[in-house]
Amino acid sequence: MRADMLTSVLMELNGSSADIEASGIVSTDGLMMAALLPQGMDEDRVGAMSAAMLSLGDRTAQELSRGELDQVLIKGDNGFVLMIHAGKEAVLTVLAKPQAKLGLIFLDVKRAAEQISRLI
Amino acid sequence: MNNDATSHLNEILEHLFVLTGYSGQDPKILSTHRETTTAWTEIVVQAFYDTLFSYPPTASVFSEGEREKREQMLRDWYQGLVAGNITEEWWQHQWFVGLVHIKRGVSNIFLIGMMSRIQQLFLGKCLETLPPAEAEELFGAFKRVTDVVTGLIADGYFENYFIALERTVGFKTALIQRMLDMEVNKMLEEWRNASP
Repeated sequence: MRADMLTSVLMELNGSSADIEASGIVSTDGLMMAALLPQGMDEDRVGAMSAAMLSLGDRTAQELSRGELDQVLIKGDNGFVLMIHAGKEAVLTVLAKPQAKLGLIFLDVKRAAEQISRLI
Repeated sequence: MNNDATSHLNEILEHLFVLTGYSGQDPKILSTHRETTTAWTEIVVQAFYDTLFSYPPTASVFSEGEREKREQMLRDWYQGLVAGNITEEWWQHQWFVGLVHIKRGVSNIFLIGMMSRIQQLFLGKCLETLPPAEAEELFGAFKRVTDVVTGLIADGYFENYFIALERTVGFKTALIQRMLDMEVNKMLEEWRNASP
């Protein structure tokens, strides 16, 4: 039931912008809770990598006195990966196209993360 | 040691005690023979460091002029052990040896190889010195204690990698375990596919 609700948050998020290609919700120890990923993308790997990147981001922000972590953003030739906390126990990971308007995506992703945090 | 580490150590000790057959009787057996076995100290210490220094990969662990200091540490460890001074603090100390091993690049292969060397030497001395039944009893006690030490240091070595990763980059143990599982499954699949 909760998984369905989480999936519907992801569907709404993916529908909010044509630039969002995929998204997933992962526990902080790397377990996938809900995902809308492209075919062929390994959910387990996305889960482990998202949790690892966010942990690393958290620790980096803390060690380098940057305050509480807001988000982790990775830019590659083929687009962006954005990771953000969705409450204390989950990570929201979003894949976006290279020409994506990041400002709008940040807003939508933050809203989705708040919804997820309430559901979890 | 904090509470988490203490309870983890106790859990490991419980497993090792049950599986090796170690009991509170073992330190008593060791203590009974302490005079005899303490006399073997220099033989053990010399054989141990002769072996380490004559093999380049293990010799490279040491810096120049360090042998005397290391010998004294082994002397103290061996004499405490054969005197049967095996307390909770003594086991905790063995756990921390794993940390020293990581720092100094002493792999578990070196640890297991050298503990085997000490055990073989000790067995030879037992058989040479004592009637067979006593030799068997004494060696059994020594073997169980040193096997628990080996297990403890080896586990400490591995466990402390996890703890260091969690402390430095924030990866939870469950996450590292998940990453390991994924890669191990992949490796097993590759190995099965490659097997004729």
